[in-house]
Amino acid sequence: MSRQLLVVSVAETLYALPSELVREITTLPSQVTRLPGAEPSIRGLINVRGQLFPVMDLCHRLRGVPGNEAVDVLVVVSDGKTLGLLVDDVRDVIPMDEPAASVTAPDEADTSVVRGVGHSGEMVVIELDVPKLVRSSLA
Amino acid sequence: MSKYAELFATESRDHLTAMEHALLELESAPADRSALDALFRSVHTLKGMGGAMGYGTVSTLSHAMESLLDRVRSGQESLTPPSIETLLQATDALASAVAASTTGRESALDISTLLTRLAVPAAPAQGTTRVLQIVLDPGTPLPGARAQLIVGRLARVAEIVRVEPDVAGMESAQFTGEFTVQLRSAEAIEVLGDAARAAGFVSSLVEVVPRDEVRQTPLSVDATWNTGDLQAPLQKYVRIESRRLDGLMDLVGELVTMRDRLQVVASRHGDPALDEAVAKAGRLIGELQDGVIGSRLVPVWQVFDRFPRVVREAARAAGKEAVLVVEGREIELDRSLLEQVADPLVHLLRNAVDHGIEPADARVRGGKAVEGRVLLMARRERNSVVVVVADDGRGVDRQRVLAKARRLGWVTDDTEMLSDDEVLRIIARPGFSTAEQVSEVSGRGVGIDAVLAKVRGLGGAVEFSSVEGKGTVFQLRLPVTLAIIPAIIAQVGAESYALPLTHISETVQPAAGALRRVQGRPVFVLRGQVLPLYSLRALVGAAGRDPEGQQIVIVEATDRRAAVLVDRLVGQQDIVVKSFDLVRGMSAGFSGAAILPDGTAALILDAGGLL
Repeated sequence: MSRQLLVVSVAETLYALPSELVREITTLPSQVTRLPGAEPSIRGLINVRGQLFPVMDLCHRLRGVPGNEAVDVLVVVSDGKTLGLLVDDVRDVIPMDEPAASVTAPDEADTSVVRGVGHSGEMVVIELDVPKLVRSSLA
Repeated sequence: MSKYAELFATESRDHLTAMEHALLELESAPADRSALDALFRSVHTLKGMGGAMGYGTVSTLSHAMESLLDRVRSGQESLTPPSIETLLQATDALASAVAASTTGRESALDISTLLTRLAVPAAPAQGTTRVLQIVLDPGTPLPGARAQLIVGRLARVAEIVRVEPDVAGMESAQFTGEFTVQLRSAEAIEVLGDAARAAGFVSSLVEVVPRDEVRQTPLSVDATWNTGDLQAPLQKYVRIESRRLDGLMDLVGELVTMRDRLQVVASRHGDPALDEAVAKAGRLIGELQDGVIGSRLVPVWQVFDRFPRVVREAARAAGKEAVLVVEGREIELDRSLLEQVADPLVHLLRNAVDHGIEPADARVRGGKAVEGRVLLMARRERNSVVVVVADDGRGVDRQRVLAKARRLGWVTDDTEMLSDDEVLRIIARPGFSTAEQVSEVSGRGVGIDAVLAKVRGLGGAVEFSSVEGKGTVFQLRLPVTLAIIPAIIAQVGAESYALPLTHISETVQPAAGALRRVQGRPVFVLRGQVLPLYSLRALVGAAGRDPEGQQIVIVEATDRRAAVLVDRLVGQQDIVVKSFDLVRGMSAGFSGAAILPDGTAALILDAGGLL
């Protein structure tokens, strides 16, 4: 079955997320409130039109190095919890088949939140397991 | 009209309307279970409300209606057009009774005829003309013949008066499969239905009320219901969905934040006209905020009135005698806060009966009244509401608490006396219980620790005192509302944190030598009192070193005080409390965040948790 996926780039790699879990796309505000004790990939708390939620640096989470260039924030909602995902660039919405779950990307620092690798035409993308990503970060 | 009577009248009106709707639905579909259930719920609620208000007519009448509906729900009786009519009349009578009761004219009503009719299973009298409306399954072969067959079956249990359409009409090509049978029978509708269905191909069969006939036989009681009573008086109360109030509260919160931001921006321009306009708008926003907060306030009796029963049942289970005395029922609290404080209060009340109040014989020996007294009182104190749960029981046995605490290694062996504060800290530790046996009532694993956690989570504090042989007092200090609270904004480095004013006793510029170390731990000496000293920088793990000229905030909760060292105090302001989804690993002690005038979020430091 074909699904709609949102493709983003993080450290020159393409990642895809189910578009129905993405509530909106916004840019990282200049003011981010640090959250004491949070893991390093959590940038902090941001205020988007009166709603507060934590933002995770996806590059840091997946590659272990801060994504300094990243400015776009995908606001994802899973299990009623809201998390911002900081990415380099938002590319496109594509239809994609179920990913081949057995294939893992070779150079991932953290593959626990990767759902699999799929492709749309010529494009090869890594699909993220968003609910798992949210669960692993939010209490 | 008293406030309660008004509330009762307003709420009753909703139920009466719902009852009428349900009855009208049942009239066209007597087997509609959801309409029946809705009707039952409204009648049941009205009965309870009427009973609580002491309105005899309302509760008697609704009780009689409930009994009839009970019989229907259990299948002993089915809803017939006459019984629906009786219920409709009873609903009208109930509306009159509500109006009369709330204005003190209750005794003028006579409901005896209605009560009789409600009590007797409504079987139509022999020979009553009734009308059945029957629809055949679509596509029934030879529908005319089938319809006649059904009429023939009905003729075995009833006397057929008239069939519409007639035989010719049924056999014509225009026959749709719908027909009505007028018959005379005293049989229940089920019997008639079974007879008709025995012929097969019956899609639906309903008994319809011959309207004119019902109107011809009015109940004698009708004359006493003045139609004027049915006209709703101008309502003083309006019911609003709580979601809407929450939405308004959010908006006002945003507005308050925006007001502060506007003031900051305007002050840069130095334009007196702009300043004045901003100040005026600010005042109006403040009033709007008070108004919206006010609209969310409800009197505590809405929850407290459930508690006499809690105490009675706890006493019965424990084989004791106890009565609950409620004071300050009119005191108002934010509705969501009131709901959330209900569980902790139930726990404290059960606790008072279970561990506080002595058995009757022990009370007599101690020279006390046989019946134990539990007091539940609310009172307003400045920006907070204090709820007291007190009992005149045996008080806490400090020696036993001390012995147990020693055994568990929670106090040093040389501790000889426990202060109230220390007792609370010990009994509030998870896993502490001096009860010899876990009682059925309060020993269910949720303890004082759960109460403390809940109240602190709401931005409140718990105080405790107990005198052996005299009783125990718990005081819950609660903010009036959760959404907007006054706070002090403190900074470390470039980061801002909000400290709620409810937990701050004062702020100080430390004098030289006031910061010391005692037994290796940093302390602050305030007017001769030694307080533990925390550094906000260390608490939040902020970078940088402590600069010169730091300031100190004295926080307090449950008799405990501590000094918190901060770089700067920015000022006091009303903050809008926002929750957010907590991140794993995050330091405890932050109960939410506030949006500052510049749009950034500041974490709220929970002093209760810190201590």
